[in-house]
Amino acid sequence: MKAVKILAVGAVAIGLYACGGEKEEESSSKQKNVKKTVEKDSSDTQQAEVNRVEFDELFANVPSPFIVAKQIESLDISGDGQFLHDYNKSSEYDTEQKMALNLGIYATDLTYSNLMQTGSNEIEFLAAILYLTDHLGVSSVLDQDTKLKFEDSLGDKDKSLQIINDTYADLEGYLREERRENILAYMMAGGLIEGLYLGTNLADVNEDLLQMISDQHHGVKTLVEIVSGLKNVDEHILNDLKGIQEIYDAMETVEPEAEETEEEGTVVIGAKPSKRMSQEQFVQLKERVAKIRSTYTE
Amino acid sequence: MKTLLKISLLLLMFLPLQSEAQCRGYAKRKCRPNLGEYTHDGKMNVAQLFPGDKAEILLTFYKGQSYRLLVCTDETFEGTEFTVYDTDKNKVFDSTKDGHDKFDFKVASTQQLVVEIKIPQEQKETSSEFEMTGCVAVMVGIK
Repeated sequence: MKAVKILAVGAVAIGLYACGGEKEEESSSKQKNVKKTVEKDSSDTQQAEVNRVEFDELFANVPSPFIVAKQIESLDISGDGQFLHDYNKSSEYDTEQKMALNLGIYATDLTYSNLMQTGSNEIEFLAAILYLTDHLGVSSVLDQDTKLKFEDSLGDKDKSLQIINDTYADLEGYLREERRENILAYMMAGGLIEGLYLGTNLADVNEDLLQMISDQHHGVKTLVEIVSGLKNVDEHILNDLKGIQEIYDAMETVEPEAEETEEEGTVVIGAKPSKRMSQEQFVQLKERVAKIRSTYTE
Repeated sequence: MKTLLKISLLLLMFLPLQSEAQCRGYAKRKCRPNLGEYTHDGKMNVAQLFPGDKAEILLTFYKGQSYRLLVCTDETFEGTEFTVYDTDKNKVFDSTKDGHDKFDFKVASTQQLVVEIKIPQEQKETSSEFEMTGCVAVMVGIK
């Protein structure tokens, strides 16, 4: 009888939701990744109530491997595969944390290789990713069909990048829906560490590189927030990320330079004060990232 | 009775998962083509909304990239509007004034922007409340 009541309450809750009758609802059963509140619409003279829905901003603001790879590409350097992780090591990871971290690392390496045409064996990177997703129980997102499609697309960079980006977006979405936030957060952490590792090693230190690495502070801050909020968090990973955030927090704020409003017919949104890393902080970050990465990949 | 209960509970649990996955599929099929020569950035921001809902999302954009921001709703909704603000609340794009469902831009420095989406209350009539929910996707392309 108690179970029937629970079911009835569940049904009523969904019914109320469908009618917009909930006053406030976080992580609702209907939409796990959004937060709903009710507010007065200031633009409406009748002051009608409107539902305000917030997307899951935290996960949205940790860059995907493609976003990271595009920034590395903008440094105008030639593709170089020497700093990529060894794809033969995927079967050596035997904990969920290590698997998830290396999933993020391999995803970043694959995307970077594809975008920059490093000549690396992309099929082997994908095979490493497949092995890890299979052992993490998320093979429904990425299976042999994906691998075959990817193999067919090689030689058409736009098509293969689309497959990579679609698969990554599906993986993120699936892990969120399945409430496997720990795996998702560690995968993102691995991707972020690999992006910083590649960024700090591939180019000589110059103003553009310093700015690009400095600009990652949004992603670092957001990821620390996500990992801090996990249940049964891996304290080592959290401390690694906090160590990186410490360097970012110490950066100075730089006022924007003269603004351009349009560039070749495209709107340019005005500059805001931004964070800027010194060369010493860059070296400190580079060493710290390399040390963390070696513990994740060993 | 117990079996029926279990099936009902399973259905209740499965329904939202199916819906969000469907929204992602919809976004890929119907919205992504509008990114044109821009490559989807690998992040999929989808939600299910009702008429009259407002939704917003804060996103990070990096200096040196060319962006296309796309707000796309399924055929359930008509007249969806979206506005983009910087973090000082200055309006930088308004779909009702600029007349587009996409916004092409660059940023002079890396910064976060707020995308606000409004689903008009008045929509075409449907046979049930559930049919009034619709998918909304915010997609970003880079080139």
